[in-house]
Amino acid sequence: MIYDPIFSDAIIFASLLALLSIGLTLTYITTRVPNFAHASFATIGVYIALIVTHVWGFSPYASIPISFVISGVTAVLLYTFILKPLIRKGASQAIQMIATLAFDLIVIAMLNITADYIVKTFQITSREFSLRSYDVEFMGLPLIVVLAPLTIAILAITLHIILRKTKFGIAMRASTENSDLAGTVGINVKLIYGVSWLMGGGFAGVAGALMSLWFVGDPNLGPQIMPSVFAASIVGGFFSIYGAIAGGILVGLTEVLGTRFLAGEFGAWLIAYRPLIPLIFIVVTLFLAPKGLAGINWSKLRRYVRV
Amino acid sequence: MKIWIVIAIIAIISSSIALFSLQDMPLPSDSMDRSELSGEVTIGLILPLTGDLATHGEENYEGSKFGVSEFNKHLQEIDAPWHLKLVSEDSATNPVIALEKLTSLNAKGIDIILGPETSSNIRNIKGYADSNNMLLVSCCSTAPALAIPNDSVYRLVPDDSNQGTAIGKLLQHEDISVVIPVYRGDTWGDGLKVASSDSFTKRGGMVDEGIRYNPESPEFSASTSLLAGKVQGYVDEYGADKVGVLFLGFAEVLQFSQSAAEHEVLDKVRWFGPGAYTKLHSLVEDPIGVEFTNSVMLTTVQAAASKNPTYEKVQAHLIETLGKTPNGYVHSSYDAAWIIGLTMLETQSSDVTLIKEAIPGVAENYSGAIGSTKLNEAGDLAQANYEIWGTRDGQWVLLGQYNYSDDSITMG
Repeated sequence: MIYDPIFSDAIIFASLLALLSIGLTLTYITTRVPNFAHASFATIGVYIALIVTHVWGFSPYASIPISFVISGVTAVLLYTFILKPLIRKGASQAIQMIATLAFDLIVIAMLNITADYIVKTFQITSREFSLRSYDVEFMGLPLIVVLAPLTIAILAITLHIILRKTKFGIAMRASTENSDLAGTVGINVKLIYGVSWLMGGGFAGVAGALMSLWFVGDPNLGPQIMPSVFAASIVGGFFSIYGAIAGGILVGLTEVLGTRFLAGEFGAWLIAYRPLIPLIFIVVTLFLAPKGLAGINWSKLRRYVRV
Repeated sequence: MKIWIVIAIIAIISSSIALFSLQDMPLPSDSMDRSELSGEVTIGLILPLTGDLATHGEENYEGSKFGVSEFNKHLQEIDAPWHLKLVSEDSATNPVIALEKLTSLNAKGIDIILGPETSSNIRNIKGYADSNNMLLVSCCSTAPALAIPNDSVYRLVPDDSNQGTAIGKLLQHEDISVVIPVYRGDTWGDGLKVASSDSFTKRGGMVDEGIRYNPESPEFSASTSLLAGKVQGYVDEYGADKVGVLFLGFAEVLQFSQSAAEHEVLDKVRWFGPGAYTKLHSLVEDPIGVEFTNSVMLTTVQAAASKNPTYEKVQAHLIETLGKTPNGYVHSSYDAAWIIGLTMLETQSSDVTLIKEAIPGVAENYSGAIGSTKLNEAGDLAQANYEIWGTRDGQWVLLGQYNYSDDSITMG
């Protein structure tokens, strides 16, 4: 049987989407603000990978910890200096959302400046680039095919342990469920939120470092993939980390394999309409299951199907 | 009290910005009194300095800047009492932003523009430019749909109906029986796909419906998988040496090649392409890209620039400035600046109506970095010979020439 590489492509895309979706969900759970700058935090990771690979001469994988830190710190800056003051002043969710959009524009501008600096200083292509050629092989496959889903698995287990088994996790859950009550029992809610933003941004950075091995790197990459990331989080329920993983995998696999299948069945013209798939997911989820996969009562559904 | 301090600070900052903006604005004599040229005459430049075509944009920006600088030297030599000033704007390879930049330049009284670069951008801003009596001189836009006589757009490249003819001839010359076009879903991609397909079909070739991809796509796995299926079908029917893939795109050709390299059948057939990515460095620097393009013997056509002293001067300057060999459109960018300047010199005016009338005559008599700049009735470059380039042994090699007048190809 001939192996079609589209399956590994789909696995990579779905895993990276899930990784981005976890971070977006984590920040939404805490501040209840859909962060439009989230995907650009990943683009920061893409550019760190470019510098680590082409300037420092290391493997793109070496950029993962640096990307986690820098993207995480950028997310904390957004939370601390923009969202926290707005929340303190009682700004509505819409205003906070617009603030994240404005911050996204600043990040994209900074990435453009970085791209120009890289070109001028190091004579390296810093737009429309890809580091795919710098991946290594593992059992005949690019390492990212294995590493991307593995990262999701490790993160899911780690987050599960943190949220369920540690004091910090309990404090975090308490802060997200009722921040006023959590504050009265001595939990430093602001610190908890700050750490959540650090982790959310950091996960986006890790996703970005891995994305550099598969996606076209460009300062505008964030806005291009943002609809898919939002679709994944909304399908997952927006309040559930596990839902975010499931949503990322579902949306990612459908985008790649669904587009391929539909184009094969109904005509190649469908390829150009791939960006519609995440939008369809968003609309269908909001209409049929507003709480996403995490909000569906599966046992009831199973009983209904049996009947 | 605090609020008054904040208001005062905002007022001071706003006033400062307004003052600085006024300093940047062209003087009334620049924009209003167009009967005689004196002092600084401002022209605009709209190029993609960010976005998909930033690499090209940056190179063409340097070409335009060098053109203006050399033209100003010429003005000094003839003791002209005026000189050109270039105001640059970034279109971000985005038609909407290009329109914003055009309206902003127009608001500043700048109505003669070098650029934009892409056909999509021009298509979006052309209506505004036409209705506001502006002039656009593009280095690179080639879409046949924009070859319209008496409009505001002049292009120093032949339109793609010529490039399509050259591609069709090249496919026939290389003994290809069936070709699968993969093309950008935009004005440029759609136009060139139709032109190439028509040319090849007329020569007895067969053209698949092709794959129209979204130019904004960050990855191409579904497209390459579909392409592999199509190619496999044709290879089984016609044989690998009779099947070709025609990739009509920009710099994303590298990512497409990387994705295509995963499919064994896709490097068994020949690949062809347009001038848009001819001599693209990343394609021969990237390990997967170079291996794949060598394997498929990627062959492209690009508008031929006649080698002359001006060409060599521009080429040498840009290699020194950019640290690499520039794309083939930088010479058109250089010439566009000269043609605008020479037309102003001839009319002794910066009035757009006068300049539009005089441009064809000036362009016909001017011989620039691209050689003859004679324009056709649509205001596009009339000469339409093409060079044939290919990636061989890890580098771009000039393989031959397509001669438009007798529809012939000379290799070697």
